[in-house]
Amino acid sequence: MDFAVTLVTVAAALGASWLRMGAALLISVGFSLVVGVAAATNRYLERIIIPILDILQSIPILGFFPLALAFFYRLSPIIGGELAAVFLVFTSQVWNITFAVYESTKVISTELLDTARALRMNLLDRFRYIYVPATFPRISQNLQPSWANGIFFLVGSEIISFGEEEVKLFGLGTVVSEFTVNGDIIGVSLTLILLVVATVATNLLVFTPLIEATQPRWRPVGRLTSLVYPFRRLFGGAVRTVRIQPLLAFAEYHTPVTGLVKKLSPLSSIARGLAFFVTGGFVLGLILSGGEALLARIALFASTLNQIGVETLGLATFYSLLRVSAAVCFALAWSIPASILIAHSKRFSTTLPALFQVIASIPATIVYPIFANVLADAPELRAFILVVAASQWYVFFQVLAGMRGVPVVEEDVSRLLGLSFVDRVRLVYLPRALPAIITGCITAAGGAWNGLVVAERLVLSNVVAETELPGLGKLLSIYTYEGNLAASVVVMTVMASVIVLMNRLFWKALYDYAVSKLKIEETGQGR
Amino acid sequence: MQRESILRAVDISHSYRTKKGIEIEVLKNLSVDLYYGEFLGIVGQSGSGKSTLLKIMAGLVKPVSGVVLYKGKAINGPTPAISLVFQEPALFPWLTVLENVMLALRRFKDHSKQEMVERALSYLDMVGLSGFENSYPGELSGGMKQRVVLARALVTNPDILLMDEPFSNVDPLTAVSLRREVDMLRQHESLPPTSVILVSHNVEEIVELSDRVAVLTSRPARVAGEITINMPKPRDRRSPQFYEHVDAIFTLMS
Repeated sequence: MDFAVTLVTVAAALGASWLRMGAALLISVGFSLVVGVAAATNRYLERIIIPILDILQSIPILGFFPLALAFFYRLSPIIGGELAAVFLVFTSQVWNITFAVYESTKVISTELLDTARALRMNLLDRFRYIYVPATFPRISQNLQPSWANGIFFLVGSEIISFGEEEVKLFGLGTVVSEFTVNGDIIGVSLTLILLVVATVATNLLVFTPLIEATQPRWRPVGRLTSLVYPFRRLFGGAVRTVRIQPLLAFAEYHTPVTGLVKKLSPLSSIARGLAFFVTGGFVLGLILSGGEALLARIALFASTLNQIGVETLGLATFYSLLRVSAAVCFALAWSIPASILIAHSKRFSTTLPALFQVIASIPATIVYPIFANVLADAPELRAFILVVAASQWYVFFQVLAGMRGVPVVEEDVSRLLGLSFVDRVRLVYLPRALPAIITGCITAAGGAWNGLVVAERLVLSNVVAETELPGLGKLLSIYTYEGNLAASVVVMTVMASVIVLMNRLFWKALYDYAVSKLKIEETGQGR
Repeated sequence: MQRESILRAVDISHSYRTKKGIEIEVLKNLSVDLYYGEFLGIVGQSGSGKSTLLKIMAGLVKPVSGVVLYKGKAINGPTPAISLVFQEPALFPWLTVLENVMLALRRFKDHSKQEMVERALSYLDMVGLSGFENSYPGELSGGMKQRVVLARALVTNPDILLMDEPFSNVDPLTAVSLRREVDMLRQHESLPPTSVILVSHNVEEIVELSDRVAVLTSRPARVAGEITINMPKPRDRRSPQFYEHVDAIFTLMS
């Protein structure tokens, strides 16, 4: 009857984790609607909110955790852990949704808004009849990538000890690590199977019908499936006034990065970013210290920086940057040929992406405990695998969407002119997909940085899986477990600064160069 | 008198399947002939499958049933002998005008680069675009883009030129001059193509340019009737004779 017990435990853990994810997702949608619409409709708020959101989405999510935990524990020791977990998952799900709301609110036609003004609609009515219907197509497309991203960090959020306080929440993450520690192979495989089944079921029963129901119709409509109908009743109507291209999940995630990159000038946003971190770090420190003098905090920050050593930080940054670059290159190397094959061959076009979606939905963090021991002799390889797992799907799905975005006419012309396959790839597919490829890399780099926090050093009960060479993620993890809050904040600040600098100086330049070189007319965001 | 066909579409049927699995018949047992040296107009209502028919004749789409014969031989794919001009000017924005035209010459391996450039330049000159060879399509007007497309379609010396509503995406004034240009290119003695098919829903346009008009029924499309137009070119749109032909076509269409 052991099996039955295991099954019930896993199912219950799955339920608990899913509840956390669902709660975080609902909060994310609510937050996004309020903040996204506020940023899109008020010019002053826009100037404040958008840079802050941009910075927040660059921060490695796991880095939030010690701070969040300390904060929520202060609020309530009983449910603090639970709140912190939901908060962490929330931070991994919310940004792309907020940007989706912001961007789709921005494209609402002025005529519609003028009409609303003429009709003297109040704020509530405007949300009900304009903002929610106009933004929901994009929101629904973002739910699935958000969910996938959330699962990745769910595992991390359920078991993290902070100094002496160890918090273990009942859920998938704790269950799977216990099975691994006990060497319970049946338990681990059962968890994995249930996880995949639940993910696929959630996609099929919730997200896909929701997307179907809220998308504007672009093809002759047949009968709606029974599931689609109630959704359409709920969100139908005005929803269909906004046109949107169907994109694969993941493709949406972090697309705002490129949108933003276009809007902000590099230098001012760097300055703003750094200023935000410095002040943000102090304010957080201030709150956590219970209101001690600001000067003491500044002194602590500086002394902590000295204590860690600029050299250590520099070296750690260098190795982390190497790992991230390697992961992005690897992902790119297989994604481009694979997506050309999938997008331009009928045989693979439906089956492979579906299969990849399922594989991509398995969070690498949950499989990690299993191969952490197997690859104990090759810590760099082990870390590399996890970083790749945390980033490659962003590249792949983004590149695939780009390759599929080749207009039918261009496809026809290249056939008509008898272009060879090599010419077609070189002259048509690659140029057409290049912006998407770069977007994919930006997204993947973000994912890789997040993954580093786990990949470079992960503590599971008595197993410590870490890289031998230094890294920022490793540093962060060490200080977090020591309970050295000030040091964690310093490392996080460095990491986020590196990410922001990369986005501004490298990726933005690359994207701008590509777009101007390709002479592609930029029509807002995406194509 | 039996005239000889250069391109024949024989008994073509085609249908699409929507994502929900509903089959939509676009063409049904349609046969049409293009004779040597002829300008054939095909007219039909929007959505009547005209573009599909043209794509099938260009070898881009394989019909569900029926064959297309070029000089008596069945075609199974795009061939350099048949050029197709799309409704929207399908140029690659990251290639210059010259590179876009030269794209059509890539399939001829025996040409040297220099020959290809010269050839492409001479065709650009013919459509009145000399001096624009190093511009990018994004810098050109709609009419100029369509001229580039025309140059690209003609540069391979095709026997047959197929045009799918080539004037519908440019402003009316540009359309007038483009039509005149197509007409003039046709008068050019040495110049291919020998035969042209123009597909349009604009009846006046069809009457202005065509030697013969095939009128399609609405979906699924069949040939409702044919009209021969024996008027000298350029044709006066305001002449009573012109309107007789227009009326005759409208009668067949409804």
